Amino acid sequence: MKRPRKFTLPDFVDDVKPFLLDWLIWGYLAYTVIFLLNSYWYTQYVNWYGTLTLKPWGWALTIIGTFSCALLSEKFGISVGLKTIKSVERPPQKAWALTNWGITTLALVVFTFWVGWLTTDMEIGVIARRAPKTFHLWSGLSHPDFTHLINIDPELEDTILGSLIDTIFMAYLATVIGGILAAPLGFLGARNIMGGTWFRRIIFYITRAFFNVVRSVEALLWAIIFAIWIGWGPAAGTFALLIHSMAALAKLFSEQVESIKKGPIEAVQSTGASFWQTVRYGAVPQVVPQYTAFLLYRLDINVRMATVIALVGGGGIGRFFFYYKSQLDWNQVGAVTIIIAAVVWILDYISGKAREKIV
Amino acid sequence: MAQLEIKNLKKIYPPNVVALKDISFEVEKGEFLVVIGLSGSGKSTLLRCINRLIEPTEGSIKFEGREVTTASKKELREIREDIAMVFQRFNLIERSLVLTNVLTGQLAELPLWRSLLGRFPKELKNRAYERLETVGIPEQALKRADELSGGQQQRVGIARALMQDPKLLLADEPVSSLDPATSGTIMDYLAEINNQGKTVITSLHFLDLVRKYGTRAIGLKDGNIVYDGHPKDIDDEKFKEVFGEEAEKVHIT
Ligand SMILES: Nc1ncnc2c1ncn2[C@@H]1O[C@H](COP(=O)(O)OP(=O)(O)O)[C@@H](O)[C@H]1O
Ligand SMILES: [Mg+2]
Repeated sequence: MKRPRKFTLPDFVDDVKPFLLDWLIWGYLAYTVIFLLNSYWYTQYVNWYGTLTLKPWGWALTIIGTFSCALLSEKFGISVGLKTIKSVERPPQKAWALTNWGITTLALVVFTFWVGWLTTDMEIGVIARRAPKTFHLWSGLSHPDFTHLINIDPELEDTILGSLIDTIFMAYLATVIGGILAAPLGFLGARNIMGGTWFRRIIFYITRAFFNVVRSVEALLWAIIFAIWIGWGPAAGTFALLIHSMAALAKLFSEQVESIKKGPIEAVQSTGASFWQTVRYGAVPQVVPQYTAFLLYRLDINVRMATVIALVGGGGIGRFFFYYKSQLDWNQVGAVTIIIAAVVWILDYISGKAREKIV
Repeated sequence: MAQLEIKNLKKIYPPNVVALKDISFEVEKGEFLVVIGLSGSGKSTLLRCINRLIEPTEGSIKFEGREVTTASKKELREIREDIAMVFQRFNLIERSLVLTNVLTGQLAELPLWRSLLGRFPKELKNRAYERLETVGIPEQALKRADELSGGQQQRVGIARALMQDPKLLLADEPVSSLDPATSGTIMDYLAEINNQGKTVITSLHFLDLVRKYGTRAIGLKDGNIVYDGHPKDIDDEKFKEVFGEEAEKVHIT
């Protein structure tokens, strides 16, 4: 049925891709099988890091075995590669899970779950067995000790309430400054504005890359960087939240700018409005409400992050949490937890309501 | 002197799409001119050249004696004050109030600082309410524009146009995204505006509407004028002759 074709490189690559994916899948299946055999039989071929340590002939066997399996799977219609990359459709005679490639996919999911369960040391029994050990924790949490809510804790030289206010200010400053810096960056990262000349294109890509990189570094990591840079304390935490917020908001803002519709702008222009009037009545209403909602949501996130950032020296109420925890003072941990939960809940509620109104 | 004089108008979209070839016609004050033509024949391009939402490539457009094509920014704004436009997709600012949308119709009359702060004088607000009454939806004034139905949104579009007190109203397929019943209402408003002495230029798809409302029709095909006359004189045969095989599609209602 196949007509002989002239050999071309793109065609060849297209044909090989599904095969490579199949080979990868079979290789992965082989790995999971060896791993499982190992953990139930005896530990010889998988080392502590989970890497295979096979003898040369074992490797050869695996490679040849998976290679032939991949070849065969194309023959017998169980090729996941053909299905996903070339999207070969078969008439739907059988239910999805009963098709051959469906079984292969199912096997992948099940085996991966199994291996994952073993590598993460998951165990259901332990939850029940060791429950009594947490008794003092629960009792501490349910008998919170609010002594230091308004009395200074000499160790930390602050009150819980005072540090809570620190935390909220940290989050607030980070959101405001980050939000303001994000706006111009957002314009530079908006495809529709930065189109046209190659110079603009380059700036667009650089900006995009910049905020994608900054965004993908966790705020916790930024806090470590700034703690080293400017010393421990709320300022370091604020900088960390600020830079992370800025990148995240810039991304959202640029998407918002990209979604500006031309129609309403033309409508305002056609009335004889000037440039700034057109911006004010045509563009701003399309961007600002949604952006304000993002800002409120970001404030929410920042308060939550600000508590965790204390772990690496970011200052704020989290300091109390981690300090009391290290002292095993569960009653005070309970008090701090309740305060944090209350603040987060209240903020979540308010910003949720406000966002509903705006958007 | 006619109110609108278009001479040798030509529009080429870069790099080489010729949308209008060599268009010349005049429009007298008070006409209800309908532009008809298949999709892609250049109707939108023609209408949008008149208020220069699209820059014409060549030719001259004179509105009340003033040249549009070479007008400076300031002159263009003054010309646009007298030419209102209604759009197929309404083009309202969806998140803003209906009232705000109507008020944008006369931004040009306001000092910049007042308009930027959104401080509209009471008398303008009253006028906006009046315009909404004209199109029958004063009770919707304080709703957000995107809460309204399509027909209601187009009424807001008309109210916004009326806010300008225009001498010429351009309407680019004003009823193409509406159902037939609503279309009739919207067209009636345009007719009423026309009765008050304002010139209307609109593009339409349905021959029935063209015959009912137009006082004159211009047929476009591939960027050329292929018909200019009274709508009543276009019978189905003529129509087919002018627009060719695909004509049927256009006047099916
Ligand atoms: N922005 C544009 N860029 C390039 N070509 C366009 C653009 N707008 C319209 N055209 C082309 O110009 C011709 C006329 O379009 P248009 O005026 O929208 O016709 P109509 O409104 O009658 O459907 C069409 O061939 C269309 O493809
Ligand atoms: Mg059109």
